[in-house]
Amino acid sequence: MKWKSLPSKYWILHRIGLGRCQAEEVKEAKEFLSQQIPEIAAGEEVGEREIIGQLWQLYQSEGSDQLAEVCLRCVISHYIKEYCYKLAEQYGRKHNFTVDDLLPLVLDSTDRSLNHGNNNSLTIRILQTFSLGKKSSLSTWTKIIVRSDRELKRFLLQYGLEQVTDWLLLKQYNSRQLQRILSDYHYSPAKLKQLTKLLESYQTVYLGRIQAARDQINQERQQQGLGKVKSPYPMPDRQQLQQIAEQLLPTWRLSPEEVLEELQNLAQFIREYKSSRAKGIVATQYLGKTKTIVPTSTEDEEDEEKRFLASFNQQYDSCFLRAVREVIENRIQFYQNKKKPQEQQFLSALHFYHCQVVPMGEIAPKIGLKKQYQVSRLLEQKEIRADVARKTVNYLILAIFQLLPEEPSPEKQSELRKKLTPILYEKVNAEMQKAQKEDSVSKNRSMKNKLSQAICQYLDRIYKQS
Amino acid sequence: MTNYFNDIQTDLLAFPELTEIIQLEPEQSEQAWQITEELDVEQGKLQIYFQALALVAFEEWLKKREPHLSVHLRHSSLLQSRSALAINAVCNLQVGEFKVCLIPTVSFSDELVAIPQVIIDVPEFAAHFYIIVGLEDELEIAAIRGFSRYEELVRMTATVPVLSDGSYEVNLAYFHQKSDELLLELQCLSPAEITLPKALPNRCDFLKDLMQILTQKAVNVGLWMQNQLDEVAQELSWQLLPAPSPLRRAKLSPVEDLDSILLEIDDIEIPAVAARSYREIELAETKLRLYAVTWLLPETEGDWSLLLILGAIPGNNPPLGVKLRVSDLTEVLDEQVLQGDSDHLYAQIVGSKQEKFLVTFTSSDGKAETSILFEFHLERE
Repeated sequence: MKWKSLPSKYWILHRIGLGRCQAEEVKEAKEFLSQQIPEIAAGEEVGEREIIGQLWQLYQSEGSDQLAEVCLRCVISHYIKEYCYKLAEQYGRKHNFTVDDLLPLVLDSTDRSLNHGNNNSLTIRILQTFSLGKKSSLSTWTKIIVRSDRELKRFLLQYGLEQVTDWLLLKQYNSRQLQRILSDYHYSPAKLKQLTKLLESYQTVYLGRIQAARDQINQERQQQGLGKVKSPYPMPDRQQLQQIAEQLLPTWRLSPEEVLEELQNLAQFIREYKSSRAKGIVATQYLGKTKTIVPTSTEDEEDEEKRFLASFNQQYDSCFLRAVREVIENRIQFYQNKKKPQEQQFLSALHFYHCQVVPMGEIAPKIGLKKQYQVSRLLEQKEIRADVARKTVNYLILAIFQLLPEEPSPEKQSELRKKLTPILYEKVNAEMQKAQKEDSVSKNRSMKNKLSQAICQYLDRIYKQS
Repeated sequence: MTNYFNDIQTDLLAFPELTEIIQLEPEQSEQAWQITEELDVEQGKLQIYFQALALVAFEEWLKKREPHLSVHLRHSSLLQSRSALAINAVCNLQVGEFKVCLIPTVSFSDELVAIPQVIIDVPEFAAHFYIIVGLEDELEIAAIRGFSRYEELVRMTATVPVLSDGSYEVNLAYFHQKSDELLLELQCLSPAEITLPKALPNRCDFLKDLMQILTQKAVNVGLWMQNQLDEVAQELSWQLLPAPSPLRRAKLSPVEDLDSILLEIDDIEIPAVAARSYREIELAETKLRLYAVTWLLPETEGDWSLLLILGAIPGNNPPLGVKLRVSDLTEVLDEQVLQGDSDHLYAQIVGSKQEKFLVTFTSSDGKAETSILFEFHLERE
């Protein structure tokens, strides 16, 4: 691609500040670029490859000018942004996310401390791992690294998108399953044996990598406290390919390059098998999806139920409060038992969110976290709502049993449970929906719902006690 | 770098969004790794590691969501190398009063879940709840993808064929998707409301056989019909025998020996085209001879029969007290002991296309044992 005007992507840095993507013009970089590649300034057409090639050489040369790195960072931030836009355009609408959700996961932050030194910076990782060659392009390399980034992958999984790489396919089946698949395609026994051995060898080598990564983490932990889990690109490197080649002897003699090719062929075979099988089975399979435990009640029973409901209405609040208390206490205990206890962060997050009504994005720095999504993972609103609802219903049922003139038999208890559960759930869920609505408002929230109030009441108590 | 292109060109695959992600700490992956390492397993270790990850993820999830429910894994299939290898699921977990079985899956977008047949059909492994656990080991995350109660899974698989690796493939859409409902059922149902098949007592032999059936390589006796031996048969030193002929009269040759034995067995009709074979077996330092005769049954396509005859090598005394046992995936079909009144033990197996049978010979003192797995396909697999 040729450029007629001075291309801004080499001197505009895209970063995340205050939760948003900000573009910052780096004047020095602009000047640097026009000095180093005067053709650009003169309005001549210079190809992207050439510009990046030159910048890359300047960056690599000894005593290199830092500005070459700045230009490269700019262009990488441009590629990252471009790729995120592409993802959002292709999948965002259907999966309910926007480009603004993606960018904070992968772009650097304007606050340098948040980039963990350089550990957390994707840009740095891209710079460090890129090697300029005839066939390589920085933009493709950026895509590869961004796409294999842990946070992005995790985000996409959460929103129902999975990147099914060859390496994922090669982990999915054990050798018995592979033989089953291959036997449908009439492979010769010799070929069947070779491919099974290939899969087994890949998996053994993969396990070896897990082990090596674990050893490294454990070592780092001993040296400097908590180690960070790294996720290398899952493609086996040359040494691992060599190991696989050795394991395949004497039945199959392959060079490491051929091993890679055979692995990719096998993955491709599995990919095609899966897509054909998925189509076939949908048509032939049993279609009677079963319902959940709760039977719908008939009209006769409704009267009886109403009587029940009237008698325990007063019990409702105490059951609800008890459920809230228990759920929060369970969580505190859960976070206390972590190797790196988080219960204080959890409690503060609850307090800021429910009692002081601080927006989620502003809570992170207050409790020593870096990003907003870490706060929402800690708060887990949806799960807490579900747990409180479930426990409330359970307590209510027990309360009803006690209101009965005599203790019901186990059979009667189970029958009543089935009858009451949906009715009680409906009531509790109405409350939870209020909480959910208030959660989904990001600005000017008011936390008037019962759940928030109960949580604050509980927190007040424990703060007073301590 | 061209090799990476495959990975960036493929589209992302869609699936229902994960409502709840279970984040594993490095300690938990470490714990899963320890469970894996404690088992004495070479091949198939990755599958066991995934089982272990599913277990620690499920424990972590319960610890957070409902700490009153504890998981006991004393009887879990994951703690024994044999069962962990044979069954790709974590069976026999005890959660409260329920038996729970975890089925690990390594992709979230794969809608088809492989369910080992034995975890439904064999009472010792059946569970009140089956839970599909999705795993991403590199990101150290997991999620409950679906669950099903025993009778629901039985209904789902009733019309689905068993695949040659002993599993059903079931679409995830037929499972309950909401993990909150699972918590509710674990808390509120009583085990009596889900009827499980009763495990029969004293099935140690059968369970041992079952693990062999699931992991051992089978001898394909169908190839004998075309005068061929597969690799497994060659490894076990099976020798094909020519059909009987009145012209050959070498004394005490296996052919003649078998002929004379078959004359005594008059309750089984053996067609002339039946294939014959034999091998020697060593049990507690005694060498024995095992004959096998196999043929296709005319009534139903793919049905086959195998007649096995065990005795001494001609010229030696009959190995009194030797036992023979035949098992399939669901039970011990036949058991015999060689008594003083006969020279041979024999058993006939009748099977269909997909069936495999394990034949086990035990020495009279019960200390030595050897097993062979048989199947019948006319072509090479």
